[in-house]
Amino acid sequence: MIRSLAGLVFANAVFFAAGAGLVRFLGFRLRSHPGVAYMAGLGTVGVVSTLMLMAGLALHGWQVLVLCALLASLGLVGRDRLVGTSAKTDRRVALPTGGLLGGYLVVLFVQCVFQALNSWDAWAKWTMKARAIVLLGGLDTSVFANHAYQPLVLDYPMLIPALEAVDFRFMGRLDNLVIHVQFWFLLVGFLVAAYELLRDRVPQALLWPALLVVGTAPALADNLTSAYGDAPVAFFFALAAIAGWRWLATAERPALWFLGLMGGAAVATKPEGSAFVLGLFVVLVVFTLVRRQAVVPLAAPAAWCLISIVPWRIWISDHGIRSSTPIGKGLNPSYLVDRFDRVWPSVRTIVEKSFAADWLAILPVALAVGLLVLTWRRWSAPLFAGGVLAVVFLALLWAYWVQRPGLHYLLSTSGSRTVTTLVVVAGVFLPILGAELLRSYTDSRERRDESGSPPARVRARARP
Amino acid sequence: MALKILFFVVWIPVAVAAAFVLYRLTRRQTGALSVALLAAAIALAGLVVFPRTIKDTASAAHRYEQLWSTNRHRKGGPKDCLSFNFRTCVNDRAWAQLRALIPKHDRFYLETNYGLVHFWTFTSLLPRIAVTDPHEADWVIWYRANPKKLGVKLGPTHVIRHVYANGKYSIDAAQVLK
Repeated sequence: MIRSLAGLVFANAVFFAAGAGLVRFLGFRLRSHPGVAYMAGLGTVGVVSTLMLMAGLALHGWQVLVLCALLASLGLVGRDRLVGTSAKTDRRVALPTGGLLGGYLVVLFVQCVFQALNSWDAWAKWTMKARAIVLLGGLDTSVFANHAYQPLVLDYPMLIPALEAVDFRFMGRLDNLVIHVQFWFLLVGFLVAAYELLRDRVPQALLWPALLVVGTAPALADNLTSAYGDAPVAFFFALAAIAGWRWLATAERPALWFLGLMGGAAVATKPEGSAFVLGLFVVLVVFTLVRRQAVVPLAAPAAWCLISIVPWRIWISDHGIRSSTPIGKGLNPSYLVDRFDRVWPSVRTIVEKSFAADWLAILPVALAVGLLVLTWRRWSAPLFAGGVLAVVFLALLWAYWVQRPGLHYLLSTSGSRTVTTLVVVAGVFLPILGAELLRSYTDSRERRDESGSPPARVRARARP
Repeated sequence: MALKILFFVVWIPVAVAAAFVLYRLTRRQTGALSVALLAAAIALAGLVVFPRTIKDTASAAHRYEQLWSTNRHRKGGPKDCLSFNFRTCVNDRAWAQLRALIPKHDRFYLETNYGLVHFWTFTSLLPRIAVTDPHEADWVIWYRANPKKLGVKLGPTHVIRHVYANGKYSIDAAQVLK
């Protein structure tokens, strides 16, 4: 077990090194953005690993090391201006909240070390594919294009199996227990990266509690330790959404690149990731047009997202693998009308599951705060957050609407985990909405002061 | 038990007090009542259930650690528990025997209506490859099924006991004679 753990830690150190070079190349200051570096490294290595698999490589340790060395060496390219932050950590909030979060993460780490691979889809599908990559030396068509294995959703993107295969390679064995620690690293990387992207834009009195409530939500722990793709896609997409919002607010190019990397990782993790990211780009385009900003800079991150998924779709189409989500039919009005009876049960389940007590009321609070901010006539942040949440909701609804398996089976087996993205996005946008609330308060106070000041001066002058 | 209940009851005022401290701090920093209330509400949501979250996570960790240490010394080899409630555990030895019997990269056909055994066999027998047609297979494996209806000539049957940690059923395998 110690050897497996050491191998997995080494793999994640290699991901971090790759990300460190990458984010420095893209313009972030590494010292202030280690979490961003880790997530960028993990996401990029994951996406490139799936491309390597399709190119016939087996993801041997040396191949991954060469890839990570190449990405890390990008950091040697000189950069004049790096995006850092002058925001200081508010210790009065950070120490108690961070202490609680850290304590919880330690206990969760212990669980992940010993966690048995006992969730059906993990041992039958996700981790099974990783084992197949290692044991068969890559993307062997005798499994990955074999109709006998069709129930294992062979059309699903390969980022998670590829990362697990890399972990197994560095562990030196197929350790079904320790592999769960990879998901723990993802949670920690997500929380740190979210903190780094938000700390200079929102009050820390809102940021730390929001990270605490998202990080310790019991439903998230259940999803995370099941070793499915739902928590990872939620982390990647939530970071992409924050980076998109940050780019709109600050016009920082590094945020845009990070949006691309996280969007690419999201589409390469689960099929619904493609719908989420497509919707995010639609929201971004609408916002840039309304603000009369240039849309062209969005082209590069969009291109990376396409590179992350289009080759895979071509590969599965070439090998005659039936898609579990019939995308063509899903856009056909008559097909949709025929299955209209699936809409209301799906809506009800998505709402029920995302409002469940195990999610600690994150979504209802975010919606209430968004509405409150709108009543103060501050449109930008609540409309962006609402747009992103609507995109996730509609993508999930569409998936349930068009998928082939029976609706009751789908909702009962997946309803509680597919809403992870919805709630995690709502959680990370809570401090953003709170910051907007603060701005509206400050603005109204300034207006009040301005309108109130002449009479005050008059009164002062009138005094003897 | 009473102590546990007492702790959870006592914790709630602690969580409320901590949220109030955060409220005061935020109010002083920002001056905005709405922002201070929001900070306190978010903190309270996380804090109220925090001991319960820690307890659940710690007991899950303990349960899995016990399974791991039991497996290390278990008579008859480790068991793989394939469901959250630990009720569906299979003997790893059954699949180890299949792996010893069937050479790597051979093809097998699996006849069973039991999904768990079906998919666990796929996972456990890698890099042996499953096929959809028994005539293409080098081996036929069956669990609570009759292989005679498959229409392929089979060699001697290897009976492997027992599939489940608490069950009596066997999984059988035979080489296809060509």
